[in-house]
Amino acid sequence: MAKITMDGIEYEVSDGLTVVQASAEVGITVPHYCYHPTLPAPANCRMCLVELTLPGAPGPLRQLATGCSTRVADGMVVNHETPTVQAARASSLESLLAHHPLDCPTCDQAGECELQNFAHKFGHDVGNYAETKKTPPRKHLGPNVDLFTTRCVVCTRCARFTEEVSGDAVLSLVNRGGKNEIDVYPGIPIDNKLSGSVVDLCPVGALSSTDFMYRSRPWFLEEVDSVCTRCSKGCNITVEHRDGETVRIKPRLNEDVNGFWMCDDGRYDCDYVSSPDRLRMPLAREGDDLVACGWSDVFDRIAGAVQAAGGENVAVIASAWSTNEELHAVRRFATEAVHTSLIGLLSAAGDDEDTVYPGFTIEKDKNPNRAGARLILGEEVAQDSAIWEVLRRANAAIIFSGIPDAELSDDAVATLAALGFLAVVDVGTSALTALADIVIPGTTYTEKDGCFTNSQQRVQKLNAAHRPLGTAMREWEFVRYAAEALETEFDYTDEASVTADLVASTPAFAGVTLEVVGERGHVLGSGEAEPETNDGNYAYARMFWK
Amino acid sequence: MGKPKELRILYEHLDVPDMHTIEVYRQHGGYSSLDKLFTQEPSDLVDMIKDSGLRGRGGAGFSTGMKWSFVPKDIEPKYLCANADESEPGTFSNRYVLERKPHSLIEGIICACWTLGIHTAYVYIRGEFTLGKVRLDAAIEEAYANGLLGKSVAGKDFALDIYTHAGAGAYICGEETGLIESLEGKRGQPRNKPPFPAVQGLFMKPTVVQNVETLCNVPFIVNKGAEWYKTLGTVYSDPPRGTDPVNTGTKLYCISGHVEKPGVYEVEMGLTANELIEMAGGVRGGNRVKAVIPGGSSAPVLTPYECDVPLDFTSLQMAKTMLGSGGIIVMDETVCTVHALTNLLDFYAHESCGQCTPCRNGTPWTRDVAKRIEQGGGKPGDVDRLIEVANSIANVDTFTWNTICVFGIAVSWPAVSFARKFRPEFEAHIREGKCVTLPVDEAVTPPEENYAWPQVLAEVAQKPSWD
Ligand SMILES: Cc1cc2nc3c(=O)[nH]c(=O)nc-3n(C[C@H](O)[C@H](O)[C@H](O)COP(=O)(O)O)c2cc1C
Ligand code: SF4
Ligand code: SF4
Ligand code: SF4
Ligand code: FES
Repeated sequence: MAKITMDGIEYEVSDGLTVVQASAEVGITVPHYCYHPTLPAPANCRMCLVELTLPGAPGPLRQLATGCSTRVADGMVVNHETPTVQAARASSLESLLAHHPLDCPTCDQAGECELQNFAHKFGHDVGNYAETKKTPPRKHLGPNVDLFTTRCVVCTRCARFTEEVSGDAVLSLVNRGGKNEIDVYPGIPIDNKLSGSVVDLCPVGALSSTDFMYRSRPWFLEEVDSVCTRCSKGCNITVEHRDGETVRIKPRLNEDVNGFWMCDDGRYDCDYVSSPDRLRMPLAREGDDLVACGWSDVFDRIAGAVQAAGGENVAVIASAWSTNEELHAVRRFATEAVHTSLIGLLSAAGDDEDTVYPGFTIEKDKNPNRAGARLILGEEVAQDSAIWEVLRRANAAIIFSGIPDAELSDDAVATLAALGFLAVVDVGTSALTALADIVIPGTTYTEKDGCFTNSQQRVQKLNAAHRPLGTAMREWEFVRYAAEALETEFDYTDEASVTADLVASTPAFAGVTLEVVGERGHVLGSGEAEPETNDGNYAYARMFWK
Repeated sequence: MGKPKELRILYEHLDVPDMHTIEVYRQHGGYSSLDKLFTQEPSDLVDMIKDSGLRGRGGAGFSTGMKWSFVPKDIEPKYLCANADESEPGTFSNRYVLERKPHSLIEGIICACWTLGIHTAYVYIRGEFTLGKVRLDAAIEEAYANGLLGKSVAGKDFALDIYTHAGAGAYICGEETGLIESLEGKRGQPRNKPPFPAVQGLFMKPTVVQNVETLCNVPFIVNKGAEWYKTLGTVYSDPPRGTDPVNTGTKLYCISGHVEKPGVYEVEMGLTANELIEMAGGVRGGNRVKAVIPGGSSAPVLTPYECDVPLDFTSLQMAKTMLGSGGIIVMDETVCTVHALTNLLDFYAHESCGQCTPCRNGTPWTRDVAKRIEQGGGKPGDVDRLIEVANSIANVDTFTWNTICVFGIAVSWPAVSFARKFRPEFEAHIREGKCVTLPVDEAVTPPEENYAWPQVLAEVAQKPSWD
């Protein structure tokens, strides 16, 4: 720890922090554009100026110091609000605003814009710029990213991200001086799997997501903490939703998992989550068509099919996209209600290798909860190939999917077609629902509570952003009713009751409560959970990384 | 007081035919410093340079010996970068060294590298200096062929390689860390300091960046000693200017603009602006002087009232301007100072690297206000606005800046000094709504109102004689 004096008050802050971070730790906002704690600090925006007295020095440095590139040291004195500091900051702001279009009314960033925030808090009340504004045209930099060039404050965060994190250095400054612009090389768009992160990084509305563009004013969005489902890494995310629809997904800082970033596979998930093609009610097959049916039909037909086939001949297939709770409920459903040992796991096809960027790795296993499935269903069941063996031995099957765009091989289609009865729980029409006798609308991760276990054995919590669509019910609830139809009683009343049941009956999860899991997860077997630190980057993120 | 005369040391024999060849250079005493050099301890040499009072000729005027003493001894490799980017408007003395006496630079580099334990030197040459680069490359080749570079310099157990690198036309690549970035193959953008190049420079290794003229002084000091060197130039005896030998040696003054005989004049440091103008044949056609820029375009301008200031580091600093690169630009009575300033600011707006906010936006802003005034679109208050905007890049009064490099003050110095010292002419533009060139006496702000030198003169004893 370092003892430093800021604005006349002595604080103890963590060693090695920058002045921006240390100030954030104690709740003081140091305005900045170019600085990001995980990127090299070029100190080019000249917004984070502070008056600095070095340890032991008789008085402050003659020149103001940049808080982004200054690290705290024992005995340092920092003043954030001297007249010189205020004047210098305001002057940098005025300079940035000189050419800024101030098209806030149509700018997606409005409401979460550091230019608005800092100008409001630290700027002049009038602007003196009376010359011509530059109006460089908007540029399409890649499939997901547009640059509103006029709004750029040339902080180079985005360019440094592509140098340091994605490593392809596709964004850079072109031209010189006042003509400086961010651009891509001709014919080389920003098209890596981390491209959406530059939009998060951009402190103003310059880099815009073509996906989110004009979709909602940010202040209408509600947010919940969640976990990405697109691979076994389990990036911590924030799901932003409005009127029951997920409209934006952003990474949430977890230094042990994803840092500040996430990949585009997960980020643009709202496309399927909010797709108009989502299933909203149960469907039953009538000839070639699937037609709407009532829930009682569903349970009657499942019960009937199980009785006809004989429980031991019915396969129950869980999903590697299900939460720990759902996996546990499905396992109990199979053994206690259906009375079968034909249990399998449906998983999304993975990549051959991890996708490795210098500052971020996307894992090859494209399932958010294979680790949970291993622990809850057992190693053998969780093997990729086991499911087809199980299905070949069955006459009927109930498959939980929820995997968007799941693909089936010809062999798989043949195996499924040979079944006498197939019920499929899924979130949208799919290759599976095409073969089903009964289709049950499932929920995406934005519609339920529960936990995933990532590849680090870290149990992480998702929170429902909104209700299931239409008449859909959450999977645990569906399992409870289906079990009831098979004359088996599960005393599940809510997700928490399923969690409690899981923890009580599965040794690997012993002691795992929602408190233990916390905001940033809990690694199974790592002993007592330590209190979550809120220092350093977390303090920074709370203040600046919304 | 004797009439000032040229004293050619660095430029000695500059006009001798084929002086750029090693043969002719040697015939005229070239490379003779090496005999002395290798018999001396590097640490003694650093002391000698410090003692000589030699100060950098590239702009900042930092003590060369002091800079060398900051170089860590135990870190390898270290680099020397000879700064031959010479892009400051009004400055053209390095160029003739490259074109006509390139071996003198090589000799200076050898002296510096031996002293500092450096085995690799780069010469960063302004891209437009095509002949200079051809000549220097040829000279380096000759030096290798003659055993003066390579694995064993002059038969000694000392290796040295020199590489040349042509700039691509950016003024900012003359700034030492912009130069280093450019040399590393990156955009020419200055770095934040500290760390200073002497500690972390090229490829993050200790690096000495030194102007060509500075380096060319070194062999003479090695050869003839610090005491001899201190007899050149001016040592003041008045307390305000101090008595330290900090204005020693000769200076290559580049005089351009409205004089009869523009060119580079090598004289001992300390003659006045008036004397130099006289040496250059006086103002053209017997016209009156209106403005003189004393140290390259970044230096605050002088009015005719200030032209008796000695052109040395100390006096110019007291006159609130600087010796800078030694580029003296003389403007006569026909010049519109608003136009002159606009022209300069156009240069700076074009050359700002643009990485830091105050300079990127403030420089074109300053230019735009000046241009608007020049073109007749000025509004009351615009002169103050001009000064305010320039001062927000770097404040000339408090000498503080919020920029990464001192390019910021290189913009606000001329902007603020022109606007303050020629305020009547600026105001006339605004009043008349068009370009008006006032006679000298009317154009200049009265001396008691704004500028330092006459007051300084009143304080210090008269300029010492210099024979
Ligand atoms: C904007 C700017 C441009 C500069 N251009 C040059 C130049 O062209 N040549 C030069 O020698 N020094 C130039 N300098 C000064 C260098 O940064 C550096 O101080 C100098 O090369 C050091 O050498 P010296 O100590 O021998 O003068 C420039 C500085 C600034 C701020
Ligand atoms: S970037 Fe910020 S200040 Fe600029 S238009 Fe958008 S919301 Fe407004
Ligand atoms: S686009 Fe955004 S992140 Fe990139 S330099 Fe401009 S303001 Fe910074
Ligand atoms: S002051 Fe100007 S030239 Fe220097 S780093 Fe900043 S923008 Fe570049
Ligand atoms: S945040 Fe420090 S200069 Fe930009």
